[in-house]
Formats: sequence, structure tokens, C-alpha cells
Amino acid sequence: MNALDWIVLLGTILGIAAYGTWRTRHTRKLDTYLKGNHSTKWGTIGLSVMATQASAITFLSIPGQGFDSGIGFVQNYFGLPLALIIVCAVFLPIYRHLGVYTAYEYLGRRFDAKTRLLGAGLFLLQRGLASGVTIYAPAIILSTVLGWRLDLTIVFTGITVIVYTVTGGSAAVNLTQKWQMGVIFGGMVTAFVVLLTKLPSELGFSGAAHVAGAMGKLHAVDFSLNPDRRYTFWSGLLGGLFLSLSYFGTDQSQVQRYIGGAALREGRLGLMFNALLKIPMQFFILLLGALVFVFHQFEPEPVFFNRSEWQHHTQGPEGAPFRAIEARHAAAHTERETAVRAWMAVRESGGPAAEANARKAMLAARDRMEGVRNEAKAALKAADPRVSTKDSDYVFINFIMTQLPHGVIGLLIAVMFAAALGSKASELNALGTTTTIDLWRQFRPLAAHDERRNIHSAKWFTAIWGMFAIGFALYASFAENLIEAINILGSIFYGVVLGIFLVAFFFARVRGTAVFWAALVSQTLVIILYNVLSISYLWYNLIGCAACVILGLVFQGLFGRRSPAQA
Amino acid sequence: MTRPNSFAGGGKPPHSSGSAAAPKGPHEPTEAELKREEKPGVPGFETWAGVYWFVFGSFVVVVLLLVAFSGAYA
Repeated sequence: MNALDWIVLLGTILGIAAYGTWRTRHTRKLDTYLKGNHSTKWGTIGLSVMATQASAITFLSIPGQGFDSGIGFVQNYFGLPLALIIVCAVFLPIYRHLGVYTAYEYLGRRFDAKTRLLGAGLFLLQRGLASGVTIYAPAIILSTVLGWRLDLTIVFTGITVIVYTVTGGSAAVNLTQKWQMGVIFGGMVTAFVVLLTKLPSELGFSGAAHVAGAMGKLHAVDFSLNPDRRYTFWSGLLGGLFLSLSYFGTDQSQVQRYIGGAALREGRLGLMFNALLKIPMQFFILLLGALVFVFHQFEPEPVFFNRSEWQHHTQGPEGAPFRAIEARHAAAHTERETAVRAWMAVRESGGPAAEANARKAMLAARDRMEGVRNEAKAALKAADPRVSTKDSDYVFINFIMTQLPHGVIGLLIAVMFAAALGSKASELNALGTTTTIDLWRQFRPLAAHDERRNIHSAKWFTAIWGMFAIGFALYASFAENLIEAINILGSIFYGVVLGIFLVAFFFARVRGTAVFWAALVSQTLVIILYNVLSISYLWYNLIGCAACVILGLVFQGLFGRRSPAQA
Repeated sequence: MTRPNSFAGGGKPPHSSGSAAAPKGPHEPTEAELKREEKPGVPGFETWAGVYWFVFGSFVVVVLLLVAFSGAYA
């Protein structure tokens, strides 16, 4: 990165943060602090919802996913539009009608205090632990590639987001997310255009898509019913529906984004904006990764995309075998490029049989190349068993750093930071709000009427959660396995929380005690099944939700018969 | 589609929460406001149901386009 990149990066990120802080510095009303400005329109809400979901990892990992496995991952989002329609039609009107600050406040009104605490507690546990990871995960990649100190990257990101989130609350989060999404859209479109110009001139977009397709990277929809397939239309539609319903309907970091605004209409249109744009946006990011794959058919790629890790070994005293792998990799690349060019020529002018033979040769060359890359990963693992050999997260950032012009590099790094700050801000805002409304005010009811004291508490809790996230992210570097455990934790909680809300909305006769015990039993069941089965984690959303609803009805039948007053 | 009171949670009045009946925002919608909000205010759409059908239809079209895209370049 040169001076121009630094100017673009710091100007963009600090400029947006400073603007958000300055514009919202006089926020004095609790309603504005927790729900955002009352004049907020649907466009801002829509971008805010999108920015909350799109973390830095979205823009680092998803192009890598497109590079590695193709664009089939887009199916994971198939349930999202349907879930948003349900949230618009059912969840949002109720939240707005009751004027709640948090989704869990609604549970307290519909059921009882213990069910509200259970919902809020599950959210705080899951989001609180994950809050460190959302800073750590992009920081480790950016600091590795850019050569920055990991601890300083974490502290810079954390402090920046704490300053404007604590100062202006939801109003600042909405305002900054709008501009951050502008940077993200601008940066990603710029990267796409530059990538197209970097492809061989005779190829064009259509030729590049044909190469990617022939290499198996453009298989977007798989209607297979085989449960062993990782991404299919059905798992995306059903599992994705329940995951999205839970995330958008019951996760406070999302609920807080759309319950404010000028009117119910603004929240609804903001959500519909996401329902329309999310799948095309994810497709575009995955396609970017697939095109980076095509680009590397003609331009040499690194043996291992985490270059600093690889160089650490090649330049060390035991570097000879690594350098030998590099030489084999370079030879395999030349062979693959020749095979790809031969296939392109035959596709244009040869017959079907010649095309099939050339395609076979091209795929064989691709497999040999992949074999050398696997050899490199095995060598790294043998040299250092602690090293992570998953390098797909480094694919896009490697392309940015080595292929994009200065200024655009700064813009793309700003995209990563904008995404990290946008999702982090919503998270802290939600954690601070839930702690204030669902915990602090429960135990300090007399303070509930003092608006100034409520804002003061919300600011403190937001800051404390921010400092906790920074501390946890700094600690996370010593406990890599913890990150995976936290991600799993999140995926197995969502279904049960959704089950509680569905019972609340659709089964008027089920009361608090029944749903409370149903949720506890269902959660235990999901944890047991997670340890026994080896199915896609998306299915646990459906299982947890269904178990909670069914058990809620059963327990209500039992409790209601025994003691209607208690039930 | 906008009938919150028909759902299980919508029946309680907004300030019935005993423990934290806190300062509420100024946006407690009246019946008239709720009715007015039932209109999406989007050109070409009279009801929210129409908007939802449009979004659902768009989703189906996007899936079909993805299938066609895969087929064209596979």
C-alpha cells in the first residue's frame, strides 16, 4: 500500500465514523438512541439491514468460495426472500404496534419474565461470544496480508466502532451504514470492472464464463435430494428459510434496524429491498471469485494464497522442499494454461468429439495443479501442525494486493473495514440495548422512567460490550478452536429461539411455562443431535424450531390440564 | 396483511408490561395510522399482498435465471 491507498482508506473509514459521530452527537431521546431517527426512510433501513448481515468475512471469504467450489453457495440464500416476506407480514407489524425496543421485550408481554430472560439470555450469550470473532476474523486476514500488527488492527477497528456507536446509538449506526454500503458497492463494482480488463483480450466475459463453466465453477442450482450434498436447492430453501426467519425475525441486531423509521411502510420496504437484492448480490460476489479463478488460468497463482505463511517456510532453513513444490507448481500452471487455450481454440472451431477430448485434457491438467496445491498444504502441515491450510479466505485479498492499481487497493481495503464496522456496530448496538432493556431495567424498574439514566446505561453497556469484544478478539488468537465452537453455538441456538417466537405469534393458547420448558428441552435435544448426526448445520434451525413448537403444544396440553392457573 | 391484533402477541396494549413500562417512543400508532400504513405507497401496488407476490415472483425468476445461466455455461 502506498500513500494514496492510505489516504483513501483512512479518509473513507475515519471520515464516515467522524461524520456519524458528529451528526448524532446530540441524541438525547431514548427512542432515537435505541431505534434510530424517526424520519429514517426505507432506503436507509434497507442498506442498514444489508450492512448488518454483510460482515468483512462476506467480502473476504465468499469470493474465495467462488474460486474454490464455484457459485453453488448462492443456494444458501434461497430461503431469505421468503423469510423476509413472513417477517414483513407477521413479525414487524407486531413489534411496531407494541412499540417494543427489543424482540425479547415482546416475549415478556406475550408470555412472562422468565421466557423474556431466556430469549434475551440466548441472544446475549451467542452474540456476546461471537462479537470477538467478528473483529478477530477479518483482522487476522488483513494483518497477515498487509503486514500490520494484529493487536493494533483489532484495537483500531474496535475503538472506531465503539466511538460512534456509543455516541449516537442506532441513529449513528443507520447513518454510517448507509455510507459504508456505498463504499462497499463502489469498491466491489470497481474490482469487478478491473478484473474484466485483466482477463485475456480474446476471452471477454462470455469466454471467461465458458472457461469457468467448463471447470465446474458455474453450477448455481442443484435440485438433488442427496442429503450428503453440501449446497442444494432444497437445503437452501428449507434450512435457509428457517435460518433467515430466525436471524431477521428474532435476532436483535437485525430487529433493531427495521423497527424504527418514519412508519411501518419504511421498515417493510427496507426488508423487501433486501429480499430483492440479496441473491443477486451474493451471486455477483461469488461470480467475482469464479472470474478470479479464470484469471489465474492465464496468470500464475501462488502455490498457497496465504503468501506470508508460505514465504515463512520457503525462506527458512528447511525451505528446499517448499521451493521444489513451487517449481512443480509453475510447471503445472504452464501445462494447465496450454490445455485451457487448446480447449478454447477447439471450442471455437473443432467438432464435439475434439471439444470433449480437449475438455478432458484441460480437467486433467486442472487436477494435476490441484494435486500440487494439496502437496503444498501437506508440506505446510508437516512443518507446522498448528498452521491452517484453508487458504481460500486469502484468494480475493491476494488479487486485490497484487493486481489492482494503487488507490483502488485502498478503496478495497476500505470495503473490508466498512463491512467490519457496519456489522460490528449493529451487534454492539443490539447487545447494549438488550442488556439495558431486558436485563438492567428488569432489575432496576424504578430507573425505567428516567430517560436520561436509560441512555446513560445504554451507552455504558454498549461500551462495555465493545471492550469485551476487543478483549475477546485479542485472546482469540490463542484459541483458534474457540472460534469454530462459537460459530457452531450460534447455528444450534437459532432454531429454538425462532420456535419460541412462532409459538408466541401463532399459538395463542400456549403460555409462558409451557414454551419455556419446551425451549429448554428442544435446545438440549438439538445439542444431543448435533453430537450424534453429521447433517448440514442448516437443518438444526428446522429441527430446533419444530421441536420447540411441538413440545410447546404438548406441554401446554399437560400443564393446562394439571393446573390452568399456573400454566 | 396488516392485522397485528389477529396474532397471538398483538392483543396486549403497548404499556401493559409491568416491570419495564418505560418511557415509550412517540410512535404508538392509532387505528387510523395503522390503516393508512396498510397502503404500500409503491406505484402499481395497492396492497402489501401485491408487493409480497411481486417479491416472490422475482425470486422465482432469479432462480430460473440462475438455472439458465448454469445451463448456458456448464
